[in-house]
Amino acid sequence: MPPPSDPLDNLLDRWGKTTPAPDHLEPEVWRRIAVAESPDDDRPEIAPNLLTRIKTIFARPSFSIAFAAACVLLGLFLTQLRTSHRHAENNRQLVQSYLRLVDPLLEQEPNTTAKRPAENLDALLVWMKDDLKLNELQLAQIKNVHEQLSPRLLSLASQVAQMQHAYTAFENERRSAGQVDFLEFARYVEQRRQLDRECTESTRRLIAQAADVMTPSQRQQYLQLLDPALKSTGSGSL
Amino acid sequence: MTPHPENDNTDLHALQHGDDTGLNRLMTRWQKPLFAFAWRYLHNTADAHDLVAEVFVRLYQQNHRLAPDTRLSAWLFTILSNLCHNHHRWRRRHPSVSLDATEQHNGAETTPLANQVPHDSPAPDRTLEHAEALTAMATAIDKLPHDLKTTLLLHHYEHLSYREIGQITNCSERGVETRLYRARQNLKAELTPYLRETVQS
Repeated sequence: MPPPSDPLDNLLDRWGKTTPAPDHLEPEVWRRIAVAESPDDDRPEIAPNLLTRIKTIFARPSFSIAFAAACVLLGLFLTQLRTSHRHAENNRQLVQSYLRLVDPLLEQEPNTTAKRPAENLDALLVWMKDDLKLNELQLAQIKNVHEQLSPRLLSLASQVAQMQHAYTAFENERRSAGQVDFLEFARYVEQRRQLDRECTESTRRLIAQAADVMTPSQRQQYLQLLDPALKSTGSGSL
Repeated sequence: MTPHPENDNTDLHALQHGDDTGLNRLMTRWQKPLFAFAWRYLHNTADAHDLVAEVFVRLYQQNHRLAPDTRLSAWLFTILSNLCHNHHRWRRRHPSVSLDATEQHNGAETTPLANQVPHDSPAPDRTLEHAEALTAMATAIDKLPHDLKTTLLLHHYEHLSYREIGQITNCSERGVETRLYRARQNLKAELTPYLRETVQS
């Protein structure tokens, strides 16, 4: 006796009756093969198809919203990046300016458009206050230190520049005449050594007095900023 | 799957050696079963025809990659089932009304739109209950996951062995058996009232 048939199979059998297959399959297949094998020049519909596909994608609200949100986020990110880059560049210029202020031996950058440090002192102090998080009392004390010692440092910087010109004159004379006045040059060397010592001492005094006002963490950050000046003056052990 | 797979290999060999009539012979031999599978999967004549044509285009384009002893029937059904799966997912994301698809009114499905369009063929003599049962069956099969649906269609309608289905769906024979069982269980759960009517009738 055969097993009773499953009612699900009966239903599947009734459901599975298909419509007859279209009889134009072969021409359609060969047409598609011909289109696929034709050179790109013969298929101008590719670009419109791409455009249509892009339009279709953007017609979906979810994708459009997501795309717009991504664009806004990217814009914000780029703005933030540009702002921080500009801030970093501004900081770098202020640090350079401050270093020239405290160290007369640092050479002036050629073709620089920055203001002379003395003119820029207020801006430098504002930057120091923000960067080192100084309170008002500390700022006032540091400003006082700089106002007392800056004129001397500026004067020394001016002397360093003059000495540099004098050295250039010696060098020109050596090249043109083939000789220099050694006695005069020896005096120059002695003056230059003396000037370097004075510069170093003045820089060290200013840095030490300014650092005394600061907390340890502020001092550490301050000395890191001044690292180039400290190395040139040999005051690394301040 | 096919009584003479050697015919497929002969035609494939001819195609690989530049004889395009080999593709014509393969189309003649395979278009009906492939179309039937695609139609049952998608329930849309135009889409089924489109995908079957695409299968043969791919066969033509990729015939040089196939080994001479390739089980061509399995290859054809594999490509077609993948195309059906992709197309079905695309359709779910881009819903549209088809003349073959069932229409929904207030959540209740009615007869296919194609049957409502006036035509010269005689009116179907099936009863309303049978029509409802078939519509419910279509919905239940449509709900099946791709693997279960493919396994069920290939086994019940194409009468393929577990081994052949395993080649197409990349699954072991035991896995095919499990999938078939789960597919039937899902259908029975969805179609309980209609199955009762079938037994009574």
